[in-house]
Amino acid sequence: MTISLIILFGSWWIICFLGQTKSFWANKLKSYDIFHFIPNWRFFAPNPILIDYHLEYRLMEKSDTKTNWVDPFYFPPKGVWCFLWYPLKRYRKTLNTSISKIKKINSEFGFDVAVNSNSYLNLLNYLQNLEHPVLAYALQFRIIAKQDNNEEYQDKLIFVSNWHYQF
Amino acid sequence: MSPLSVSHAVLTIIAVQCIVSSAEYLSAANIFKDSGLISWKVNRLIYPKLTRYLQLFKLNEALNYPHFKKFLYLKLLLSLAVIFFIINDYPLSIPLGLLAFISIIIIFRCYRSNNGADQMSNIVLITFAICFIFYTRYSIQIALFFLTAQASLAYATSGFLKLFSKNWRNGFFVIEILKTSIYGNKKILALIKREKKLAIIIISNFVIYCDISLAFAFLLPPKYCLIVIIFGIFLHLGISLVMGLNTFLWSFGAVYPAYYYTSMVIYNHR
Repeated sequence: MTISLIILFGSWWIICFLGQTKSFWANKLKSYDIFHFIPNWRFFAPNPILIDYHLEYRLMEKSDTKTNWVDPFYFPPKGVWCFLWYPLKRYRKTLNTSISKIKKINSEFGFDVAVNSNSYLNLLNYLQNLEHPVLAYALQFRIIAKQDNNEEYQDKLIFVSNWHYQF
Repeated sequence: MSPLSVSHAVLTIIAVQCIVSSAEYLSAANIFKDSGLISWKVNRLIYPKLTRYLQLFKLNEALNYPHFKKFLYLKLLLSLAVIFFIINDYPLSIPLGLLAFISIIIIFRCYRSNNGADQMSNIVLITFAICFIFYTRYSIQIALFFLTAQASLAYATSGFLKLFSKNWRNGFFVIEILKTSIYGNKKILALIKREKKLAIIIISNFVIYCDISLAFAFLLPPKYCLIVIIFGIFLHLGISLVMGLNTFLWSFGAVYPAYYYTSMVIYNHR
């Protein structure tokens, strides 16, 4: 029993160790790891997240006029109690993961693959389900990179979606 | 110090992490709606084959909102049960096994919003769920050594990758992270900017060397290991306060008793 446990946990640790590299085999292995048994221990290293992604959308109305860009999210600054309780991080992490994936797919495989990705569908599904005026018949979204705590930062346009006509 | 009492300490802290994490998810449960940011309707398309099997066993509906909330409530209750069982010295295998199983399902469902704290907590639960089946001194010791090795890998990966990066060593990344609202903090940024460059370099290098020291803390004699652990607690407390990563404090703090125990075993202080 002891030996089988040592083999089991020893193998798991070796797989986790190999999983920290960015090699082809590590990525292949991780693509099958749907239950996250191989963790990612890189934590902001070597390249941390240095920008805040903002998701904005606009609508096309029946008169073919486009509305202004709207950011559907408002995240207030972290409070003093965030070291105990901070549920907003789940929204932020989800949004960030989806946007990072779209950005990565767009730069590696191009726009056509990015618009067919699950992350793109995920954001589109969220935006299409928001309450919109009856007159709106199409939706487009864009991703902007900012540094919210830095007024000198020049906002960058990262991605603009297609127009989507189904509501 | 018996391995069983150390494992109880680890599991009590992890149960607190599970309570905070599931309560936070429940308070943000809108995220799981079909119209939410982690809608199962869309996210299940990532696993077409698996979804077909889930459909076969009518499990797709269980992962949909509002049914999925039951898993979160269950995780909350099972975490409380684990603490209750530890206090009353009842056998832990069943609530622990169930908690590990529920956690795996939640990790699978919430893959877009998981972080390292959830992954560490899952690893701790699965490890003990397996080792508590056998419930021998050796099986529990193996669990504690494995968790020490896993945390050591986590800190070493993060620490050395930062150490080899010039922008981490000179503090550039710390300032840039603080400029974001997702992981930064406007007040701390203003404070650090006033204290000039040296403060930034000190903070950045404190993070790097704290990570590296924590990676090898279990190799030190117990009293020095304890000192490094105290630094580790301050590091995670700081990260929670500045970055809002509150659950890391619990999930990595949970591994510290295992660290201390391993150090005691190495130096024969049992």
